[in-house]
Order: sequence, then C-alpha cells, then structure tokens
Amino acid sequence: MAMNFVKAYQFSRKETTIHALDPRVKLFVSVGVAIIGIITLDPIEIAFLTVIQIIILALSKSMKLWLRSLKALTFFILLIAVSQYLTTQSLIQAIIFSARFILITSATSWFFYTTSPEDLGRALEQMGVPSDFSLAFTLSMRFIPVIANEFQDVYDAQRVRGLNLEKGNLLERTKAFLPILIPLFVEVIRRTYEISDALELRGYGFKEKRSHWKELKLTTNDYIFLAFFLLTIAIIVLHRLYYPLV
Amino acid sequence: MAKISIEDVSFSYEQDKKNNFVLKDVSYSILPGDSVLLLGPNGSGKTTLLKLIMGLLKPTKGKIRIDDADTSKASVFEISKKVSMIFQNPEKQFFAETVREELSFGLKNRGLREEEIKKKVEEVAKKFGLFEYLDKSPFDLSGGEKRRLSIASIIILDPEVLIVDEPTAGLDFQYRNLMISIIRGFLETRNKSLVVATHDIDFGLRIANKAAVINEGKLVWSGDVVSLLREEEIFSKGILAHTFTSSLISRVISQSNVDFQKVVKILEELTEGLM
Ligand SMILES: Nc1ncnc2c1ncn2[C@@H]1O[C@H](COP(=O)(O)OP(=O)(O)O)[C@@H](O)[C@H]1O
Ligand SMILES: [Mg+2]
Repeated sequence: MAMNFVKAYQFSRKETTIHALDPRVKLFVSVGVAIIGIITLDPIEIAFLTVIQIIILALSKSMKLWLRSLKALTFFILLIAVSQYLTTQSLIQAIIFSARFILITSATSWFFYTTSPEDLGRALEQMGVPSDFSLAFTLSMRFIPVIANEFQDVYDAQRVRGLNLEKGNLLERTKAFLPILIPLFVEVIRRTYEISDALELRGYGFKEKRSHWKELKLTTNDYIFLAFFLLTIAIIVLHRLYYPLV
Repeated sequence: MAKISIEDVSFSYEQDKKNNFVLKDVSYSILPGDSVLLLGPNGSGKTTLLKLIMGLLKPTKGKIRIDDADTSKASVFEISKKVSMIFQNPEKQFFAETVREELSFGLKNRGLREEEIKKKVEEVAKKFGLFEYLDKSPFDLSGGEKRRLSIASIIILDPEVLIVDEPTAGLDFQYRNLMISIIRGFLETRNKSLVVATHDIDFGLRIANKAAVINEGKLVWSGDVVSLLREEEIFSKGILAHTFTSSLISRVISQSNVDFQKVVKILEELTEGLM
C-alpha cells in the first residue's frame, strides 16, 4: 500500500538513452514542462505535451511504472475532477484540471524514474546549489523507500497483535495509527543519527569543497533532447499566437 | 490445535509480473506438535513464506489453509487468534508508555475484560522476568529486557502456532540461550506447533524435530531433523553449510545408533550454553 505510492516516484536503473542524459538537462526539461502545465489551461497544449511525456516514458522503458503510478494516484485525480466540477459546474473544466495534474505528475515522474539520487545531487551541486543542501536532498530521496519499508514492517507487526485500522469512528481510527507512527518515528530518528555518524566518520564537513569522481558534461544526445524541447516550446508559442485562448 | 496446509503455493511481490516468483509451487503441512526448522540461504524466500502463513501476504497461486480456513479469505485479525509471529528485530514494535500497556496491546485489541488482561499481563510478566518493570517505559529497558518484552507481548496471545523469523540474527550466546528457553517453554504445552526460519543450524537443532529446506523459492527437502543431518547432498551442494557442531552430530549419529536428542543434550551439557 505505502510501497505502491513510493514506487510512483522511485528511481529504477535501466540502460536507456533517457537514463543516460545529463541530469541537469532532464531537470530543466521536466521542470519546464511542469511549469507550462501549471500555467496553461488550453486542452490542446495539455494533450500535446502529455503525448510528448508518454513518448519520453516509452523511450525510458518506464510505461509500466507510469501506469502503476497513475493507478496509485487515481484517488487524487478523481478528487481534483470532482472538486473542480462542484466549484465550476463545468465538466470540461473538471477534465482539464485532472489532465493538467496527470501532465505535471508525468513530467516529474519520468525525471525521477531515470535519475539516480546521486546524479541528482551531483547536478544540483554543479548548478551551484550549496552542497549541504544537495546532500540533504539526496539523502532524503534515498530515505523515502526505507521509510515506506519500515512502515510496512511496523504495520505488519501490529496487525499480528490484532491492530485493526478499519474499525470504529474517525477518532478511534486516528488513534489506532499511533502504534504505527510512534515506532516509525523512533526508527527514523535512530537512522538519522546513524547517517550523521557515518557522514562524520567519512570526514564530511572537514573540507570546504568536496571532490567528485565524475564531472558532468553535455553530450550530443543532451543537445538533441534540448533541441526537441525548444521545438516543443516553439510549437506551443506559435499555437498561442494563432489560436489565443479567450 | 491448528493444522496448517500449504498447497502448491507460488508468490510474486509484483502483482502485474506474475512470472517473477519468489516462491514456486511450495507444498507442506504443519501438524499439531510439529517444531519445524525452515532452512535456506539468504533471499531464498523464508520470510516471505512465514508472512504468507500469517496472512500478511496472500498467495499468488495455490492456497494456505489453517484448519480448513483459507488465508486468502481471512483477515490477519482472524488468523492471529490461532497463529502469531515474532519478527526479526521485534523490539521495533514498541509504542506504549509502559511495559504493562505494551503487553496488554494484543489482548485489548481482542476485546478482553480489564481484570482478565491485568491477570494475564502479570502472569506473563513474572514468567519473563519483567514484573518489576511493569510501570517503566519499554524504551528504557536494556537490550535483553527489550527482547524479552517483545516476545512476551506475542506469547501472551497464547497462539496455537508460533512463527519465528531469524530469532538469533545478531544475538550473542546469552540471548540465544534465552530464545531457546522461551521456545522450549512454549513447546511444553501439548500440541502447540512452531515454525522457525533461520540459517543458524546449531540453534535449530536444539529446538526442532522437523526441517524443511528452501532454495531459490523451491522446497528442495523436507523431513525429520535427524534425516536432514544424514542428507549429504544438501550440504555438498552448498545449499546449507555445516557448522562444527552440526557436522559432529551428523558424524556421531551416522556411525552409531545413538539417539539424536541425546547427542544434543550431551553437547549442551559439555559446552554449558556455549553452543
Ligand atoms: N517487499 C518486497 N518487495 C519485493 N521483493 C521482495 C520483498 N521482500 C523480499 N523480496 C525478495 O524476495 C526474495 C525472498 O526474500 P525473503 O523472503 O526475505 O528471503 P529470506 O527470508 O529467505 O532471506 C528476495 O529475492 C527478496 O529480494
Ligand atoms: Mg528473512
């Protein structure tokens, strides 16, 4: 249950062109698409961009992961559709808002599927993000599946002792979560200490600028990918000019 | 007492990839009074099989029945009335403010009356040497006390079948002997059964009368513990590794007609718990 949700954004190591792209390029394109997704309300633009996301997902051999993550997000997609419909009374509006949500999650999900936490950390650092921050980011990304596993372990252990989350009224159900949340919290804190000890042991914090074994460099594929992205943007801009919304 | 039948069970963690089986066509029966040692290399599927028996996972193919009830159709809550499980690192489950509350948790979930819970908690606390700590926080206990409390909180549920996953992983001699005496105490009641997954064969020899060996998700051998020690192929193929003690026992019983239990007992006396 918890695991499904995490898998929606989890890195999976594969040998594809998209995986091999420079993480900075991927970050730029993925954030770019997400921003357009947030701004636009044009159904044609949303459809066009979504098709491109699907092509990228297919190229990165991540279609299955993506479909599974959509399944995990069904609840949210429906929630957005229903709440839009209730506030605007427009079915089209409801569909557009859910479609935008799908577009934004697709654009961000292929990024996370194809970029390892280490690559991401390296990219952030080379882009000038302070190394403490990028390390913290990388560590928390690696931490998420660990926490999901811990959650499952504790949940199982309490279920064996008869814990039932599906019984009682809202207050009782919320209280029933405590036997899961407390051990989980204790474990997360314990692991945090473990990590900070390990970092100190390896000399983190002693040197001003840490060295890297691999400097990032753009390749031909990166330039091709960027060119396609700019082309996409150009098409959207042209579309705007010829068919302005409103 | 409960009988468990595992019938042609296959299991995959990935629901959409049904060929990626972690367990393949496993069949086995656990009868009342059985004390089964589940052996196999790391990653062979032991923990997965235990979780399937407990109903925490449901078979992808095949069936597991506990006295005729199909685990796929029963909730963990229902199953937990007959079967209980001690996980690896059971101390992780602590959440209550006091030892008393931690021990009461399972009984409260079952809806027992206050007085009955109090009586049972004190009885079990005495048995596990925890009586004086009843009002202390579980988090303040020492390592050995924590282990005793986590196990006591399962034993108090009085299961007919007890499942234990890697009870000795990361424990020193002292705790191993504690585990042995707890498990032997549990088995003293007639017709209770036990399934222990471990790759600590010395430990297993001291508590089990049956053994099942899994390798890469397949059940490759099952029978009496004594016959396992005579089964040279499993050891020569590297599925299981002999220790000094287990090879000594297997030599002794293969060269004379001496009773296996007696050999174990003598060794225990000679080594005074160092085994
Ligand atoms: N939650 C899980 N999701 C996916 N695969 C798992 C999960 N748990 C275990 N596995 C895999 O299943 C196999 C058997 O694991 P497990 O039952 O833990 O073996 P054992 O207890 O014998 O070491 C291993 O290959 C392991 O990687
Ligand atoms: Mg295991």
